[in-house]
Amino acid sequence: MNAYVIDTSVTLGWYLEERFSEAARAWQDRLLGGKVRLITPSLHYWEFANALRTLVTRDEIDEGTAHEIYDLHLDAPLELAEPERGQVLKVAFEYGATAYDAVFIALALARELPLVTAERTTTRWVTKLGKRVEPVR
Amino acid sequence: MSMRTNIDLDEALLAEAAKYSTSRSKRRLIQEALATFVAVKAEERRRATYRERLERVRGRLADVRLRSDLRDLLRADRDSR
Repeated sequence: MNAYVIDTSVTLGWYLEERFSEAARAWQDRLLGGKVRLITPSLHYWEFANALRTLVTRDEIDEGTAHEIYDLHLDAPLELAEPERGQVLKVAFEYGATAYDAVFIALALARELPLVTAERTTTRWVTKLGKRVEPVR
Repeated sequence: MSMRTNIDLDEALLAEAAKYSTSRSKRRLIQEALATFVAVKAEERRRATYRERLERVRGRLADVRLRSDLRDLLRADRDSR
């Protein structure tokens, strides 16, 4: 079964309607259908929670909904893995990315897996990763 | 709360279970095995209902139109930390 590293940007679209939700949900269907394995670092969950928190502070969703989405997402059959801590800063400089982006990039590079992301294709690290990125649009 | 019970156990299975445990007594080993069983089955059940709960949440949120672009929201979060 093919494995991929998945970025937080994609999983947000699993629950909330976005321009890229359809493409994001196609990845979720592959996961739930047992066709792919999706791997993510623990940072993913903290970013996911913070995105929900921001949507609540902007009055776009209510707090109950945020909890419901977060609790549900904790049960999504994602696999947890961490990059080598020593690699994150190096990768951040090398790819012109924030350290937070670099956590996902370093994990994908170390495991030689494509990175599934909804990040814009014009972003520097996305361009630099080239074919190692599976863009979600 | 605990209860006393007499049960016949598969010795080979017990010996196999002991390989994965640091418990020194059969009593502790069986307690550990039961606790693991409950945790594993509860996790399985949660995962099994994920799709069902997903459909419910999506149904409820189908009409919610966000003003924020989720990619921009995440980008701003990563850039500002």
